[in-house]
Amino acid sequence: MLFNSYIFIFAFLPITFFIYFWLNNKRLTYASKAWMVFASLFFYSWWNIIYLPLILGSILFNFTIGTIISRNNKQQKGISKKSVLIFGISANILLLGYFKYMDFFIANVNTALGTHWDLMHIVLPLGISFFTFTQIAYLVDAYRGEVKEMDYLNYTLFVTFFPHLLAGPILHHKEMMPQFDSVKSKIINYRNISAGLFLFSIGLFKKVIIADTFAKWANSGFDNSSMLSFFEAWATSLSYTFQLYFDFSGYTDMALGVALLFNIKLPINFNSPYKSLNIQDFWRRWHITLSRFLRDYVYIPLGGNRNGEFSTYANLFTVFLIGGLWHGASWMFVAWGALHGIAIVIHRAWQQMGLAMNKVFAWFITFNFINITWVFFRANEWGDAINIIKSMFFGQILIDNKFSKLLIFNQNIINVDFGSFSTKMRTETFLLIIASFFFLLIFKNSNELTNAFRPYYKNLIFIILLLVFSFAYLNSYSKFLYFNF
Amino acid sequence: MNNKQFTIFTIYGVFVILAAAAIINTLDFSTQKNDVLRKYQFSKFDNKDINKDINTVFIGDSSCGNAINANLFNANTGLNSYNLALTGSFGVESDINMLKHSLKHFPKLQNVIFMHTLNIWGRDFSYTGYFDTLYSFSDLFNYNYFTDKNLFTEYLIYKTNPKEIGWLLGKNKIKNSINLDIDYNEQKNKKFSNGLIALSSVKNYDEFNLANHKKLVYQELEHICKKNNLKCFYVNGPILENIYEDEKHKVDKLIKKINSLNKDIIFIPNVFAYSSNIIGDSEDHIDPDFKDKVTLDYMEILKKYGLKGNK
Repeated sequence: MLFNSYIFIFAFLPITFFIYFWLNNKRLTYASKAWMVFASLFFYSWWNIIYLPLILGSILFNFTIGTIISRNNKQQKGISKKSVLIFGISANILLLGYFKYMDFFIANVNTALGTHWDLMHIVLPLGISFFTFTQIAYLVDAYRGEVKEMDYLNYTLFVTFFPHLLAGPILHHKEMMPQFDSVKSKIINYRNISAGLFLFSIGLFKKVIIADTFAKWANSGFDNSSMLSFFEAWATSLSYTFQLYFDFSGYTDMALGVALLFNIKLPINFNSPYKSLNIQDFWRRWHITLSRFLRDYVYIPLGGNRNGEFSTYANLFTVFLIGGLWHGASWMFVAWGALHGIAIVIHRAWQQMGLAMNKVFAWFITFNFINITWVFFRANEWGDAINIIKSMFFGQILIDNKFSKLLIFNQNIINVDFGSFSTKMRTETFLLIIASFFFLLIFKNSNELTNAFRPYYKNLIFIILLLVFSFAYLNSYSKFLYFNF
Repeated sequence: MNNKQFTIFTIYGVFVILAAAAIINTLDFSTQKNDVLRKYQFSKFDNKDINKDINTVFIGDSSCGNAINANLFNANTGLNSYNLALTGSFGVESDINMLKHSLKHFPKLQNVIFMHTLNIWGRDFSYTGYFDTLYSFSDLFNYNYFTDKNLFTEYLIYKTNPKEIGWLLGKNKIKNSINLDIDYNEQKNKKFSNGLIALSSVKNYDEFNLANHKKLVYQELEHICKKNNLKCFYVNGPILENIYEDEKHKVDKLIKKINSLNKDIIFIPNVFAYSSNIIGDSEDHIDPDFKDKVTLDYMEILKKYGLKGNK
């Protein structure tokens, strides 16, 4: 089920909300948790019930492993808890590997060895990357003695709580379950509801109005990558850069907003990433819970920065390769991860040398690096990415006939041609790109706005307008980009 | 204002706006050009005196509306027909509704001719067109298999679309676009026939696809025709000759695909390609001055395939 659908907004969410608080009001707290689990599994199965046993099996397996590890913490006997942890993590990675990377593996073996093994065409179960990482984090936390969950229902609720189930944020058990157990969270809290509605409205608007509009242009550009002129290529890459941000941060805003209705505060995932002044800053602001996961469960266990500079660089690079591959089974994601890995290594070396850079220039370099690397992230094939990047630097300066009036220079001086764009780029494309820069760089982000939220009339009018505009375009709803990862 | 009031006002505010949109939708103001045409075509169902003798209907899009002069067709065949064509925005799916409305209002109905432009088969399901012409509420549940979206949910979205309010506010701009002489929408002044539209401006036809939902719609049309003992024909709408020449391979492939679906509708595979001097304001619109000529072309073919009751 999608957050940006009528069935979610007008049926699933109100029904889940009222029954959950009604049960809590009757002091049936265990039943209220059971209801939330049922609702979350229903939410998950709405798309395709076939993967319900998979998620339930994964939950049961990890709960069992987690329980064994937690008991082992006390008893210090039997099979070593490290072996249990390694077994648990391996099983999770194998599951993810089977569903996400099997065809990629077979295709590469076929290419490398000249074999002709048939691809298995496995459909990626929704949210598998997220619920697998969430549970790996739980196992490691259990191993470290930081969490202990002996109640299967509580554990299932932690994994399946519907606002974060399909595309994160990637949670820690310790930051969510205490909230569910808090007495305060069992009572309807209008402060949280109004703030949650506020955040949800912003997220819905970001997704339905902004991201889906950019999507048309980005798709058109990537579909015609070999025919792009200079401006079209930039419009294509920037459209995708903004589409991805508004799509994923819109989804996260909706997830955080919905969770807030139930008095649950989920961790933020975005903090104005396109304001970043360097690549490290970017990864502290973009998909924050994934970065946190990779830092805590990959980078630090690899040794972090404890074994000298070279090892630190190697660890950083490895983390970004894994981060790239986590997004999908494609060499394009690996390339994207590698580029970011190289950038983070260069950034660290730069820092070590104690060099500084003008802030505007630093932003310019960082933003353009991110924008260009998103091209590799989005392109289906290497050739498409190269075509777009070539056109971004050496493309024909073609101005659509419609824009000829906007040209303030003599066309001979700057050597431009007039003609027709081969994509769906319009005047609105360029205006929305400029407006997006303006909003993202000047204004507070949705989390900052929500923190400063007060129930004023201007906010009331603001969110009603956001909701109404979003509802006007809901009929052409689309999936979130991060559902594919 | 406190948080409780804020929450309540937000929810009420949104519901009031959606309710207003639903009321405007239900009152069915003519806020779009398509509304004017739909109401014009639906008004034909109310001519009780004429309806009792109607035995033939043309159902389709603007390629049909601009190509068939029903009066001329009647005069030459001895049949009593109506041209009920809407536009391509209504999709092939609204044909089901138009057919059901026809069956209800025309007791002597024998022949049904479906006619659409060639590239309609690859287009998305037209929810708006389908709901605008909806025959019965129960169809929302009967035809849920057409697409992967739930028809009832889509209907709720359609009913409560806040755009209705905007359309109503801009209503003054909508004028009656029907030309009674040609029994269809007035065409624009820029036409292929007068040279004001150049061939180079014709959009690129990427695909002449056959979407899966269109197959299901076609099969349902066949089912209704068979169940009601109707003689149903499917005939391709006219198209600019140059496009057909450029896209012949794709068009022929599409026709083959539609033909393979064929069971209870007589599928006429001919392509009616015309030169630009008789094409009107779009590549599949016949210039009104040549509507009669084209009507006769279609009539000859339809006769050949065995119209019921023609002289």
